Amino acid sequence: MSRIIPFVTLCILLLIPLSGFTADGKAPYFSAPYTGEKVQEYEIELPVSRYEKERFRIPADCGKLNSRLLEGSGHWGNRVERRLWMKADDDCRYLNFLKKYSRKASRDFVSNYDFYNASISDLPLRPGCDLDLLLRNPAACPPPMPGMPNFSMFMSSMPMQQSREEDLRDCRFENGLFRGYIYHTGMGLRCIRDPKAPGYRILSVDFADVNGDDCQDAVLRLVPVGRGARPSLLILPLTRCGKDEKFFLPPGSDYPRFGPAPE
Amino acid sequence: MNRILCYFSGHPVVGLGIILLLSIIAASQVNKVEVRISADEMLVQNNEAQEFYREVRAVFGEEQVSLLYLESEDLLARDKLEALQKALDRIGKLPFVSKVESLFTVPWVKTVDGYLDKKPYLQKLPATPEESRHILEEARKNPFLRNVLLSPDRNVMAVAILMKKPDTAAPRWNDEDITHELDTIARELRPWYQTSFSIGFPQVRTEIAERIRLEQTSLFPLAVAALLIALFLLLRQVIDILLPILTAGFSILWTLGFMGAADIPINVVTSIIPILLIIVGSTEDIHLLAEFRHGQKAGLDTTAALKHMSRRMGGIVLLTFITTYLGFLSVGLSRIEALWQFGLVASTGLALNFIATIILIPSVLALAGKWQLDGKARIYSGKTRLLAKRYWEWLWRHRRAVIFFFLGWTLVAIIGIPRIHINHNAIDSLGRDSEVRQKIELVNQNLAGLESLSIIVESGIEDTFLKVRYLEELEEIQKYIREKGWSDSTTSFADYLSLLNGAFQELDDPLMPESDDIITELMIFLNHKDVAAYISDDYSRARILVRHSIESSEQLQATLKDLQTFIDHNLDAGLRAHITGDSVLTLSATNAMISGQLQSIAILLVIIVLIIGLLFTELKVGLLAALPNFFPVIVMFGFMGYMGIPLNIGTTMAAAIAIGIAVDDTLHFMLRYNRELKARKSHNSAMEHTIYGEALPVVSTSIALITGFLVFTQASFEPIMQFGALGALVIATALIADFIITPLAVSSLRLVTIWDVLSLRLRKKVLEKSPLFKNLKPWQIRQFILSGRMVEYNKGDFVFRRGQVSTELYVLLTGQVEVCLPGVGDQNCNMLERFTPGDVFGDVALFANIPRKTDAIVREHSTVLVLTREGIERTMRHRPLISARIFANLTADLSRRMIKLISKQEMKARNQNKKGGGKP
Repeated sequence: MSRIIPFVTLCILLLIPLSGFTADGKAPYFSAPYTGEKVQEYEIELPVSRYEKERFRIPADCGKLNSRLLEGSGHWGNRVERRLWMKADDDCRYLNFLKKYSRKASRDFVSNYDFYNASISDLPLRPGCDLDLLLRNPAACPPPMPGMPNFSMFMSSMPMQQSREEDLRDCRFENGLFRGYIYHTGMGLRCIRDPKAPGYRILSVDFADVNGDDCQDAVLRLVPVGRGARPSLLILPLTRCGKDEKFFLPPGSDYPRFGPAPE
Repeated sequence: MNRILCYFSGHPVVGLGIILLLSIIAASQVNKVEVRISADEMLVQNNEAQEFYREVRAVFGEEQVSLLYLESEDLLARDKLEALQKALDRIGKLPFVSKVESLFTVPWVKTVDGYLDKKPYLQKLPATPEESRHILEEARKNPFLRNVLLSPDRNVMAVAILMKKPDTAAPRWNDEDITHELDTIARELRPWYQTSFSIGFPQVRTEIAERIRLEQTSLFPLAVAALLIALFLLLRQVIDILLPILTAGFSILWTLGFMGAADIPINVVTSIIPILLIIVGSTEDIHLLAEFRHGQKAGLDTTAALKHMSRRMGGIVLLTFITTYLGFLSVGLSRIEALWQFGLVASTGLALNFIATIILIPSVLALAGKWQLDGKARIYSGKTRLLAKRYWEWLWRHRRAVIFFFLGWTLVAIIGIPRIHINHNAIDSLGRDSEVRQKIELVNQNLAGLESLSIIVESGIEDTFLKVRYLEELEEIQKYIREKGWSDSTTSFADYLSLLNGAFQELDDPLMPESDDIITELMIFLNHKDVAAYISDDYSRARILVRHSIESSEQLQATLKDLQTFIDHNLDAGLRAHITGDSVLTLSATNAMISGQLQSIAILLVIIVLIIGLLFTELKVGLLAALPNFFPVIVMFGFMGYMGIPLNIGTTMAAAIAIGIAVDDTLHFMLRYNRELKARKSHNSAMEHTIYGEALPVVSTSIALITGFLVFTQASFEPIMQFGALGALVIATALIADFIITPLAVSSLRLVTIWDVLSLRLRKKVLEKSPLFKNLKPWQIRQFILSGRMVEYNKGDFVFRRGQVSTELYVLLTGQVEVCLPGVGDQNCNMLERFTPGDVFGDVALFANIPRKTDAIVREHSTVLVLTREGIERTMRHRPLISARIFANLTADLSRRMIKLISKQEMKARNQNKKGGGKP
C-alpha cells in the first residue's frame, strides 16, 4: 500500500500535462488530419521506419510521439507523411505551450473579450512593433515575426477618399474573419471590407498564462485567407493588464511556430 | 467424297442412325448455351493496350457507372428529396452495388469557421427554396458534379451507381437483375420526377440480350419461311424443299451443342449463326439435289441417279464447302473475341452442316428420292436451253460493251469507297428508336455522357504530382479538351486540390494552389481514398478522367489523334502520357476489326486464287476466277460509301462471308464448263450447256441466299441489318458476275483440272509409248499436253468428219478409233486405219491445211487428247526444243504410216490381181 500511493500520485502528475486541458478548463480544438474537421482529439498513423507505421492518438499520445521524434522517426515517409509528423508535433507543442504554467492566473483581462469580433485597432498590427513606429517609420520596425499574423500587410498606402463612421465599424473581425484593407487616417485606423481581399481567419482562441506572470493570456490561432494564401497556422499570443488597454504580446513567452519554415 | 456419298446411298439407315446419334449428343449440350453480352468481347484480346487499361483500373478503379437520371422543375424540393433518399437507401442495399454517389454523398468541400467541412451537399435537406438554390449553385461549381451528376443549366441531376466486380465463377446477379432492380426503383420515383430512369452499360447489354432472344424467335421462322418459299418456287419437289431445311435444322442443333460444350455464348454476332446456317447450308443441298434430278430426268433410276450425283458433285461440293468454310473461318482471324467466336462457331457449324448434307441427302434420297410432287421439270426444257444459247451468243457478241459496262460500274464503286466511315459504337447499333439509346441521348444532351476515357500521366518519380508545375500539366491537357469542346467534364487530382485550396482560401470558386508549399499544407487534410480514382498512392501517376458523348468512331479517332499530338508537343519532357479507357479500347478494337477483316478478305481472295489456280493447274485461271468474286466486294464497299453505311462489326463480316459463299457458284460454273468442254468440241457449245446446266442451281441458291440475307434486314441491330443488306447485295452482284464475267473470263481459257492432270498420270504409260512423245522426258510431255484438252467420246461418235476444217490433231488415250473413207452404199466405213491408245491421228489434214478427207469414228468409249493448231504454235514459240522433238516424232510417225499405207495399197493391189488372175 505504501508503494501504491506514490505510484498513483506520480501517474496523476504525469498525466496532467498530457490531459490537453488548458488553464480555463477547455480543451483546444485541432484540424483533424485527412479530413480537416474541427476536433479535440484525433488519430494519426505515421511511419516509424521504412516498413512500419504507428498509430498515435493526439493529444493522449503526445509523449509517445515526442519519444519517436527524438528517436529520429520523423524523417520517415514521403513528403506528405513527413508533413503529418510535423502537424502532430505542432499540435502537441501547442498544448505544451498552453500548459506550460498550469496555475490559473489571478488577473484576467482577456477572457471576456470577444476576439472573434475583435477590433483591428485593439490588436498589434505587426506584433513586436509599436503602432506609432509602424505608422511613422515602418522601416525602423523589426521584421514581421515568423509564424505570427502581420496585419500591416493589409495597410494601403493610398489615401482613403472618405472617412465615414461605418469605416470604423468595418475595422474589425466579424465572426472570426477579417478580409479587407486598412488605412490610417487622421481619425485613426479605418478599413474597407472586401470579401475577395486577403485577410485572416481566427481558428481558435485559447486562454492560459503562457509566460507565468499571473496575468491571463489569450492565444489566437489564425490562418491567412484569400487568393494565394498558404493555409498554415499562425499564432498570436495576446495579453493586457488593464480592461481597456490594447493587446500586446505577453513578454517573455517563447511562442511555438507551426509548420515547416517557408521555402 | 464420291465414295462417302455412294456409301450413304447404299446404307441409308446407317446414315440416319449417325444423324440421330449426333443429334442426341448435341441435344445434351444445348441447355448449356446462354445469351451473354459482355463489353470485353468486343475488344481486342490480350494486347498491350488492354493490359495497360487493366493495370490502370487496378490502380484507379473502374470508370464506368450506371446513372439514375432525374429531371424535375424543383429538383431539391423536400418531398422529392425524401423520396429520392429512400430510393437511394434501397439502391445502396442491392447486392451488386458497391457505392452510390449523389448530392447526398458527394462532399461539399468548404470551410466552416476556418475548419474544413466535407459534409455532403445534402447532409441536411434544404428547408427553403433559397437554400435549395444555393446548394445547387455551389454544387454546380464542383467539377466532380458539374455535368457528371448535375446539369449546369437544366433541372437535371443524376445518381452514379458503381457496381461490384461480378463473380464470374458463381454469379449472384447479372445484367438483367441489375436492370430490373434499377428500373423498378426509377419507376417508383416518377410521381416526384417528371423524368426518371436508370441507364448504363448493364442496361445496354440487357437490351441487346433481350433483342437477341426476340430476334431468335422472330427472324428464325422468317428465315425458314423465306428459304421454303424460294425453294418451292424454284424446285417444286417436296423432298428437295424439305431436305435443305432438315440439314440446316440438324446442323443448327449440333452447332448449338458445340457452343454449349465449348462455353461459347450467344451474343450479337454469334446469334446470327443459326439463321446463317439455314441460308448458307442450303446451297450444297440444292446443287446435289439438282444433279440428282438431272440424272432422273436423263432416265436414270434412283440408285443410278444417286451414283450420277455422287460422281458429278462429290468433289465439287467438297471444294465449295472448303471455300465457304475458309470464308467463315477467316472472320475468326480477328483478335476480337466476338468475331473470333463467330468465326469458330460459324465455320464449325458449316462443317457440321456439310456432314449433315453428305449423310442426309444420299440417305433420304435413297429412301424417298423417287417421290416427286409432279415429276415435271419446271426449268429444264428445250426452251430454256435455247434461251441459254441465245444468251451466250448475245453476251459474246456484246462482250466489249459488257466489259466496258462492268469497268464503269467498278470505277463508280471505287470512287465511292473513300466515303466509307467507321462506326463501332454498341449504342449506335440499337437504332434510333431504341428506348435505351434515347435515354443515353438525354444523358449526352444534359450531362457529360456515358462514355469515358482516361489520360494517364506519369513520371515514375514519387510525389511528382505534389508539385504545381506538374499539376499545371494536367490542367493544360484538361483546358485543351475543354476548349476543343470534346468533353463537358474532365476531372483530375488538380481539380480536387483546386477545390480544397478554394475552400481553405475561402474563395468563391476552386483555385489551383499557387505553390508547392500550399499543396503540402493541403495534403494534410486529404485522404488518399477520396482521390484514389485520380492519383496513385505515391503521387507519381495521375489520371485525367474525360467523360464524353462522342459516339462516332471516326470523330473519336480524330479527337484522340489531335489530343495525342497536343500531348506529344506540350507535355513536360519528364512526363509520359497514355490515353486509355473503354472508348479507346473500343476504337482500337474498331481499327483491329477493320484491318483484320480487310486482311481476311485479302487472304480469302488469295486462297481462292490459289485453290482455283491449283484446281485448274494455272494461276491465271485462279486470278480470272477471282474476278467475279472480287467485283462484288468492290461494289459492296462502293455501295457502303454512297449509302453512308459504316464499317462496323456486321458490315466488315459481310464481305468475307459473302465471298466465301459466292465463290461456290464460280467453282460450280467453271467445273461444269470444264466437263462440258471435254464432252463437246466447241467452246461455244460447252458454254451454252454450262449456262443451261448451272442456271437452275446457281440462280436458285443465289435467290435462296439473297432471301435469307434479306431476313437479317428485319433485325433491330443496325450492324446485323446492314450485314443482311450487304450480304444480299454481294450475292446478287456475284450472281450477275457469275453469268457475265465468269463466262467471258473462262471462255478464253483452256481449263485443265487437277483431276485431268492426275488422270494423265494414270495414262503415263500410254503417253510414254506414244510415237509422238518418243525421246521426250515426262515433264516435257506434260508441258506439251497441257496445251491441249481431254475429250470423252462414246461409241459411234465422230471425232471428225470429212469436209470439216482441220484445226486439231488427236492422241488417243483410251479406247479405239477408226479412220475411214466415207463408205459407198451399205458400207458406211471404208477403214483406212485403226488407232489404239498412244496413236496419233488427224495430223495429215492439219499440217496440209486442207479440210478433212476422212471420218474418224469411235469404236469404243474413248478418251482423246485434242491438240489444237494454236496450242502447237504456242509450244513452238515458248518451247522450241520440245516442239522440235515433237515435229521429228510426227514426221517419223507420218512416214511410218505412209509406208504402212503404201504397203497396204500394194497388198490390196496384189490381192485384186490374184482375184482377177492378171499379172501384177
